[in-house]
Amino acid sequence: MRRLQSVSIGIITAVLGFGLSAPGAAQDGAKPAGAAGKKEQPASSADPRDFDGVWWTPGYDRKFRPVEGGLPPFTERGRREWQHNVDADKAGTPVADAPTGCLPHGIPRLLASPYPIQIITTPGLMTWVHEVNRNQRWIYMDQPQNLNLPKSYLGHSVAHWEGDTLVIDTADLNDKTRIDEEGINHTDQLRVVERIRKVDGGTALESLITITDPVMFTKPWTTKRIYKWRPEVRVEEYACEENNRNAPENGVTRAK
Amino acid sequence: MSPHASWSRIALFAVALATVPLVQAAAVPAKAEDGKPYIGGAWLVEKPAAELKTVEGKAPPLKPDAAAKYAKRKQASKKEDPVALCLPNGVPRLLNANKPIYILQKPKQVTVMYQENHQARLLYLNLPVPKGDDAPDPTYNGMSVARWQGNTLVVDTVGFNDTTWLDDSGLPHSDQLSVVERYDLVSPDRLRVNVTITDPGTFTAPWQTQVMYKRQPEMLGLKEDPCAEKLWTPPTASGAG
Repeated sequence: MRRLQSVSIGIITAVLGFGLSAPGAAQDGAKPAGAAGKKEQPASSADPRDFDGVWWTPGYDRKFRPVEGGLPPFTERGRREWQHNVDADKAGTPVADAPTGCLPHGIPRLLASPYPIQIITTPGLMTWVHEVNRNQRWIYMDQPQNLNLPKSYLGHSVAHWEGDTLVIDTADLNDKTRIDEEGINHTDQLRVVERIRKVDGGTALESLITITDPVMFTKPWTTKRIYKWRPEVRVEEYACEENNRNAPENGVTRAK
Repeated sequence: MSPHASWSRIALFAVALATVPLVQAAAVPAKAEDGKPYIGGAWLVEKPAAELKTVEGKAPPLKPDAAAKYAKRKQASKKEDPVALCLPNGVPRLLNANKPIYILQKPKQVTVMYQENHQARLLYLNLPVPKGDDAPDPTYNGMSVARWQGNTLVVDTVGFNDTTWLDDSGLPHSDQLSVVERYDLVSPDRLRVNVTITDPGTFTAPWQTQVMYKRQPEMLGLKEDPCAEKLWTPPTASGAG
């Protein structure tokens, strides 16, 4: 099963603190979901604004880094908290965060997940059905942002088109998640803007992710992710709570 | 319909709503884009049933072993309830969760999003029910295929594990369970689901129950429902450094 293979890789990287050298290998070898998974689906729509279908990152990188290289523009506190998390990883006692306890991953961390995503567009909405821990992402089209909503793990996302680029603005995020799996922290002042467009003849989505948090970073910074068009893949059920092998114990993620 | 055309119309609608603080849904269309009855949008179960009865109002036809298991489970601690551990509810228990659902209706796939512990059911249209070598690995919510039969959406679900309960009271099932749901729009604002439960490992015969949903026209999307917070409190950023 794809989720177990991928989860075990996640634990190894979390515990040993190194990047995954052969990303995607476990997922690509996974069995499709029953008869339906073998059925041919049509190619990605020629319409550059039609994102409907299943997309999957071709590789897993547990770190978010600025597109121009180097470390994010940390404030003193941002760097101290990141270093604390990295050191805890190296010591074999990684600091638990929300998804290790089966809570939503948060934005932008969810955007790095090595699991498929199905995008479904309906009037006024774009819904992202993430396989990983059943994250449900609701993106409201052509609505004003509202900075006064209760904070949540995935925040409040509004989007509009600029040409053929979808611009998603996410605010109202709580501070219980991280920027990435490696350990970049954020506060509830985080705001994330994704600029997503089809590239490579519609076979991939490119997302430029701009992260703003004046407490943790001295200025906004931008990272990037690619998602490949995977019409043969179906989003499968994910039951994090079943035999959660990296369940947090006393604030530390223990691999079992 | 070109997406550009539909987006510009939605944009106009959004301008009209700009002073409304909450995100609000557009007017409910009479028909879906493929001419089928429009069952998309937000719904809430009218009367969540904690203990399933047949449509005739009788107790489900349990076999003796299953009846014994059910009686024992009713005595047991609520901690043994898989839903208390934030596991997926299973079908049809998920239909009776007292939280909104949101249906994304497309010609090739109807996706039912459940606020309850952020679950989703992906209903693939016009595919055969998977059998034999194609049978799916067992899961909590099973694997579903669907088809329109006239104005009724018929959903076949197979591939269940035997972990879930059929209702809040602990009605059991085996991994031989299969469920057929028939979704009928009985009026623009009411959705009736007739559910046929077949499980030769648990019941003496197939039986039917019913769930009614009421449309929630003001809702667009669903709220976050982080069930696992009941089990664990994650640290905040300030607590880590």
